[in-house]
Amino acid sequence: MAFNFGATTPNTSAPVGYPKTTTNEQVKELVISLERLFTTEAYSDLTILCGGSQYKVHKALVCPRSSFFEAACRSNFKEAETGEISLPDDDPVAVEMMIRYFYFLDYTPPETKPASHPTPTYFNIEGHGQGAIFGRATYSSATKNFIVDKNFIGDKDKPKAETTAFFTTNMAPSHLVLHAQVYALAEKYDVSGLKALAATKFKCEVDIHWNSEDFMLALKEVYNSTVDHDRMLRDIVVQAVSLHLQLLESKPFQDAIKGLDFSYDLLIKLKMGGRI
Amino acid sequence: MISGRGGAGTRGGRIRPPRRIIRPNGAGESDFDVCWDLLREALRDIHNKNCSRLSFEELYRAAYKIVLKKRGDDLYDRVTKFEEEWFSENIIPKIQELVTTSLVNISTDNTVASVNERRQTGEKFLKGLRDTWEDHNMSMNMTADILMYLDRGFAHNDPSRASIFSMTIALFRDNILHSCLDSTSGKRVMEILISVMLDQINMEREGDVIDRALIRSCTRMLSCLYKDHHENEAEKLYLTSFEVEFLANSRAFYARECEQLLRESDAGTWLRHTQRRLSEEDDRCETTIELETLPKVSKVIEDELIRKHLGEFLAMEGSGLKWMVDNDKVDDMSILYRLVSRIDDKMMALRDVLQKRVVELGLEIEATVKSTDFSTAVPDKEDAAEGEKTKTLNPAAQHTAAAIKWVDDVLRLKDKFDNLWTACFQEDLTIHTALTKSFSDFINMFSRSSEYVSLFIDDNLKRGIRGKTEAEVDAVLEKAIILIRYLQDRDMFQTYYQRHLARRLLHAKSESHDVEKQIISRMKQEMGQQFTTKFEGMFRDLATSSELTSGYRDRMSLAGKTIDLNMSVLTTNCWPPEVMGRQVQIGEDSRITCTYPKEIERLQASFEQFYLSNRNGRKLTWIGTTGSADIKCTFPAIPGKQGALSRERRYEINVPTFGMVIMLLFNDIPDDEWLTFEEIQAKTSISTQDLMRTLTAIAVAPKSRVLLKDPPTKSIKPGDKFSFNAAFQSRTVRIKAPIINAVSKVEDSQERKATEEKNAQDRAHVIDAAIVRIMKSRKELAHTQLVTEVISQLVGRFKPEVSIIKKRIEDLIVRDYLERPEEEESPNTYRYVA
Repeated sequence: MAFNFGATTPNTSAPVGYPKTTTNEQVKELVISLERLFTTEAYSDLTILCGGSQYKVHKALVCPRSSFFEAACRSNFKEAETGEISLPDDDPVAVEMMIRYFYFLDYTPPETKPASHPTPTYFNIEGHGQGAIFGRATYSSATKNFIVDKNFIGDKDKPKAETTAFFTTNMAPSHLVLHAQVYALAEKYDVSGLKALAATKFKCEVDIHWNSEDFMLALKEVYNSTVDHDRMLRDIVVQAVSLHLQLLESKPFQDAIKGLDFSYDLLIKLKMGGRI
Repeated sequence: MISGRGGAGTRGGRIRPPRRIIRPNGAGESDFDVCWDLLREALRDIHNKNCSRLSFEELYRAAYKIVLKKRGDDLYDRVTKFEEEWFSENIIPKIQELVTTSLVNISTDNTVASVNERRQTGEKFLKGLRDTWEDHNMSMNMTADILMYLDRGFAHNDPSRASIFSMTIALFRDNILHSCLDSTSGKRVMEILISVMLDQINMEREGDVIDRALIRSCTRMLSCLYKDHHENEAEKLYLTSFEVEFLANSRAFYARECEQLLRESDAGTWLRHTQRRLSEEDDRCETTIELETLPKVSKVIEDELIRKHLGEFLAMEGSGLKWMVDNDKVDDMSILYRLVSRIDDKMMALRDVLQKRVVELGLEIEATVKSTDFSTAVPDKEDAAEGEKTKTLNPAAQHTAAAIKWVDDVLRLKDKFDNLWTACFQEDLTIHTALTKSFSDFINMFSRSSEYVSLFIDDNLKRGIRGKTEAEVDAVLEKAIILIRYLQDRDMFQTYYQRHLARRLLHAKSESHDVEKQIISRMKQEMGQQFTTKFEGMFRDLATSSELTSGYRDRMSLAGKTIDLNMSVLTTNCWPPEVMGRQVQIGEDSRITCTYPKEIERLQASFEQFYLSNRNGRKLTWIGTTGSADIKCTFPAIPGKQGALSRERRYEINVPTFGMVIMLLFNDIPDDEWLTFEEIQAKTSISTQDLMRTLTAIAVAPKSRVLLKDPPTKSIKPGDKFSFNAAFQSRTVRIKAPIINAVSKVEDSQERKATEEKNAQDRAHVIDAAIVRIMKSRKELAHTQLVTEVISQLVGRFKPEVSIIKKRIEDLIVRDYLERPEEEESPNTYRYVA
């Protein structure tokens, strides 16, 4: 998880013929300074509001990496005047991940409390769908309610509150849904680095959690939060299902994919693979 | 809340494509309408510059949602429709107002209104258009910002759709620029716009002040718009519409202007005007239109103002290039050079005129030298001649003066053009080559140039460098070398130089042996080792001679004798033939020796013995013509005379060797006895020429007249009688009799003919040698090739005529060095006969 680009990409961009000038020392210095900017909020010149949290950020760091933020700060609209950008429609956790990404070049999903949810819910593959249990089928809507009901978030004084609180009860041990949300957010606000990062994380977790309830939720999220031609996550889920076709025998899964373009994608995928 | 927007929803449904009617998600329809209403209001606000209360995020989100719901194409179409309607309702009427009849007239006929009127009408129109454009541009930028996701999520993936910005910005082109707002003339706004802009630019060219920033805004606008939605950089409206017209307009303008200049002005005005126009256009491209036009409009000026009538301006009487050269118009020529270098890096036009002028001036120098009467025209020459011998103010000395004047003038001309070259022509190499060639041309057109150059050096080494600093001497040497470089017939120069150098050395006329050696080493650098071998040999001879002299003196003093004998042992080949007595005199056999008196003969024998004691097989020939002798004379007191004549007088006279021989004759006869010319010749066997010269020195020259002559005329003729001049007196004890043939004078025509004949002979040998050398290595060669090779081998020495080469080849065939091969197929081939 920890990024260490000083070691992995040593001076690849240094002009040929120059001695190496950037060392881990200097990279570390930059990393620490970014972290300090995030925690102390010093010199911040832009406020991002979302889900009751407010993030004091730096245009210099945010705008060059996102055409949305750049345009918001450039145009003569309200945001440019007030220096506040409100993102009322986005998932607060995903937004926090995005902002952390701006400063840490990475994000770590909030910790879940294992005690509240001791055993994750998995499809009972042996049961051929009959005995499959969806532990918390209302997960998605519950989360949505959570966001809409802003009063629920108690601790408004803490600016970057540990948002783990949101997921104390319903959080599955996988973060598939969150990664899909971050991915959609990155697409929406045009943060290409974050998009790729989220896709990578998503892929890693799909390999492990393909038969979890979360996977099914994430699949819905993927197909509802991005446009058709945005293939990165779509390809990952189609690939995963095509490797585990037994999922199609599960009733909840059948319900979940009803009405999604996923069905079409999977069909084509199978046809192309010569499997039907 | 949503139901309130029902009207808008219905309208939206109207333009939806049929396949969208059945949607899987029924909620999408109203969502779309909500979002579109929001956006439509925002667009309106943006146009009305009333958007600071709008939330960017909200609008962005609205567009994002629409795209996510796969309604991007609907949004795209609605935005297009909205903007088109906005144009026709709000903008076109405004522009229509601006297009007045008087404005349209400007573009058709610019004589109707006064300049001021025209400028104001034009400016009003341009300002209106600019403001509209700037509003539109800003609105479209903001629109593009809020619809950013439409581009990324939808238009980006549909190749038939341009980005929102380029689509909406192009509306300006389609709805304004390409629309025809004046029904009477049928002109499109674009045409009017361009003609107004050009009209303004022409006003500025005529000297008016215009609003440059305004024009620039318009060109910027045209640079932002493209011919079609591909947005190809090369198809900017600026390039496809404006620039084409602008260049055509400029071409017409400058063509007209150049005609006028040609009619009414002189070359100087033209130069400055053209220069000013170039910098104006430069400035214009910087400030008024686009910089990328600069090379194109510069080329128009180059074509119209420079290239087309360059020849006519250069040839202008009383102001053209010839006049500039003659009057040293450095500024004019500097401008001229810069202008011409723009259109032709070979400088053809400039070069031709300059070359012609150099040759003209060079020939003028020659003509002047020929027509000047130097006996009176050169006073300083007279002074100099008086110091040495008054008698030599003869035609020969005048020729020398002419030679020096010629060289001086040529050098002055060279200096002049060198200065121009540095000051005006930026030391351009092509011009330098051209000038050098012209100098070489006219110098070689003058048949006496080789001789004159050698005379010039001779004069400087004899007198000219006296009292000069090293640097000045160096400058003289440099000039001499420059001239030598121009000479084509270097063998001729070599001959003359050898002759002049021999005279300087043998008669001790040379001012400085160091300088002599310097100039020779410079010639060596320029012309090569072979060129200076003989000159160096001459110096070597003199050095060995002085060793010999002192060696001989030491030997004699060992034997108890004191003999003051200075010997110059000369190697035959190094010295000019006339010095060595090898020259064939016309009508008489040359004699370089004579019957020496007994005591002299003994001395000669003694030296010969000394010389040959350690050198075997050498033959010494005594050359009387170039030596001299110191004679102590005693003139008796003449009774009955006053002053100096009443006492016995002793003098030491330096006379030529032959003079000594003659004077010694008079020792053997009584004082008052006379000897005729023939008697003297019989006793001494000196050749008539030499005898005449020698007698002139001792019987005619006033300061050394130790012999009386009868009749007492100034020239010596056979039959004259001579006797001892007992009444001789002189203010100085040491007297030097003049050496009559020591003056380096220009040859008379007879001598010249001889020199040329001799030179032709030498050349024949050199050509023979070259032919044999070439044939020996090639064995077989065609005629033309052989001729070319011979010429290229000899180019450093002289330029042989082809007819002579041909003759030499024939000669070599006769002498069996070459043969013509028997085979028929190669009639013009020669083969070397081993």
